[in-house]
Amino acid sequence: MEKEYQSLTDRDLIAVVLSNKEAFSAIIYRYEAALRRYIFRLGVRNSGDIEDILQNVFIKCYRYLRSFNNSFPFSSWIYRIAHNETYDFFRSKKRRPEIALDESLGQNFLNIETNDNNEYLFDKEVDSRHVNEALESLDKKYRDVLLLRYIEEKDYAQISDILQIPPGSVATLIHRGKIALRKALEKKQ
Amino acid sequence: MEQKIKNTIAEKVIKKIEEEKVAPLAKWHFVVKDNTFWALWLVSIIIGSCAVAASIFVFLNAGWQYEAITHDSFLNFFFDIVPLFWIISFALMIFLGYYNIRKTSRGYRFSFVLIVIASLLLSFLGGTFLYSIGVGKSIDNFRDPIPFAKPIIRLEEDRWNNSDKGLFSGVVKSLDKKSKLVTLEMSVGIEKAFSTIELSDRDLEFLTPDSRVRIIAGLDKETNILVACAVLPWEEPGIPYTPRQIHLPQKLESERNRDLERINICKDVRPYQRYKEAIITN
Repeated sequence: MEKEYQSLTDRDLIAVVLSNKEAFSAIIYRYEAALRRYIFRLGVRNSGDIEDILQNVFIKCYRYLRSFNNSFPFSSWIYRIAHNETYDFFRSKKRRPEIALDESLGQNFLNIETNDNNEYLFDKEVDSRHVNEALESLDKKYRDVLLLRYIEEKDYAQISDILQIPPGSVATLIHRGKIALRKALEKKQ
Repeated sequence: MEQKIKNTIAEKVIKKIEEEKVAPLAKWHFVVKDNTFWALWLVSIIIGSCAVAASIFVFLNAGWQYEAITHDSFLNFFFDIVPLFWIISFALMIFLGYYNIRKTSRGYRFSFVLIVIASLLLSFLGGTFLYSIGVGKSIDNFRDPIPFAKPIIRLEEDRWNNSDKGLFSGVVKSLDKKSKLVTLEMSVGIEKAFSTIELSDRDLEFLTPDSRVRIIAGLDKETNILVACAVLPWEEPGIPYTPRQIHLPQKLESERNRDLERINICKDVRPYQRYKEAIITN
């Protein structure tokens, strides 16, 4: 099934799904791994919880498929559903998300350069565990943009679509988030 | 293992879709929702424009030219006329406009500042247009039934129906030049007579039958008769773009001196003193 639709773009695949619901599993195959990682990185540790959230994400995606606007990337749209669904989960459990990065991903943050010169924002000696802790201590608005920018490697327009904030605000939040992260790391050291 | 999990999720989702008969919602559902928010934004702009039109009307017809007569200080006057009702309504509409735009499918792409500036600009343009076609007064009158939000015209009528201050307004019903009495109809069925003994010729010119006038008067305690000190016209609210014109008499010094000799009761009437100081002598 997956192979059958492999060559189709997201938009073409959606058109097929609207006439044949079986084709929807191709969308699930295409995005499941990425969304699973994203939900985990947002702080859902339990694999059962991740699976429940994923199911809800895909069912919502199917139900609201016709609301998808072709002028935006489908990946941003489905990430947005996953993002909202994950935060709904935290709200329902009255839990605060805990950032969960593995060591190699923590390195992504260590490679961030400051805006004004070629210096790195952080000391390369910083432990990824500290990056995790520092990220956890950040305000949600900073944590979300930093995660999408440096771990999920989304561009500003995609982050704007996922978080539903103006592109200009994305740039501001990333800039402020980097400063906040540096301060939080300095406190940890 | 990974393939197994993948299949499980896909299978579970497809099964759930079938079991719960989940179907993609129709396109019109989203189109209607989106357009509703755009329409609500438009409504907030229209109401905001009405608030602007009414505010322009209020500011241009607040009775600035009589401020010295009707109020003790400019600050009192200013707080009296500020159309808080319209300003609050306008601010509320700008906020609602922002909220509705953000609820549209692409609304999140616009920044707060952009939405607010666009809403302000459109409301001001709309408000200026509405005022220019002459509906500012009708819109302002709309707040008549609301407590503590009297229309500016009603406020002015109240100000000029204040016997404690010696301020009156009404329509000239009769003018008896022999007995030097003028009768004004203050409101339906209520008439008041004023002695014109202390009025100048220029004041008397305003006292034509059926014309609406303002009178500053003092009470002659011996005869218990109201003595008119000055007569001013009651201009109709501004025509578009122009506030009411001031038709106050410009007096020569010799005339002013004659006034000073002529007046008796009026010299103790405070609004009249203010009228002389602030208007005639300017």
